[in-house]
Amino acid sequence: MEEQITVKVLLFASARELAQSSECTLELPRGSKTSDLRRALASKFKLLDVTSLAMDTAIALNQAYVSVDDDPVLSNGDEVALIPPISGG
Amino acid sequence: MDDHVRLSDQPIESREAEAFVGDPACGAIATFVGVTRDTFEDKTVAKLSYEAYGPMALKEMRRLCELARERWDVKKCAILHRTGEVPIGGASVVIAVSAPHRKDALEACAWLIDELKATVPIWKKESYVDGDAPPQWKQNDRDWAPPPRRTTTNHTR
Repeated sequence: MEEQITVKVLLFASARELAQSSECTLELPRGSKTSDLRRALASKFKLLDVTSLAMDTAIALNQAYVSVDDDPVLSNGDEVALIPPISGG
Repeated sequence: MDDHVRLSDQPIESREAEAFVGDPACGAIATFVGVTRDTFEDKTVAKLSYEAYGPMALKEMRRLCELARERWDVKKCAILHRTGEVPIGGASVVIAVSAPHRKDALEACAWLIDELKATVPIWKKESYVDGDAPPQWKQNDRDWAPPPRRTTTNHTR
């Protein structure tokens, strides 16, 4: 079994601008959770502030919101999106 | 299928949504059109643009239509949302709901726009006329948190 998993990360709106990137792939150790992914992103994109990532930005896993109380384990091939405060309508 | 959801970088029209939801068994169509405003607080808005997480936004819009149907006696729902730059006074969102009776259509339509603004991953950036302020991403709810997977709500309007 591979030790690493690869996930696709999508960034939108203010998160996309802060990271100066709309999409990237991250390799994470198998067993990593969404909280580990937040930390990996904060260190990959130095501009992303860890606190604001933790406080304001929701995460969608495979196009479904992850509740604030949840920290699911990621799987190889997952699509994870950073969802800053929304403003549709 | 009784729902029609669409994102478009072209102008959206209420008549598209109304034509879709029209049904001989329905005595009411309620339509909401959200239109871009030219002022925010004391600033003059020069332009607005919308960005969407397309596949997830469409999924969430479909889910809202299903939830509306569980709660009210509605026949068909349509939700259109514009992306990209929208001129001032242009429609950014259109919602239409048909129902046998007007109360269901009106309540479901009002609920749909509230829920869209609270749950669908779409973002708006406002730019202001020179000197007013730097462009900013807007925020519908001051306390943004991922919405829980609601299957029922205590909607009491």
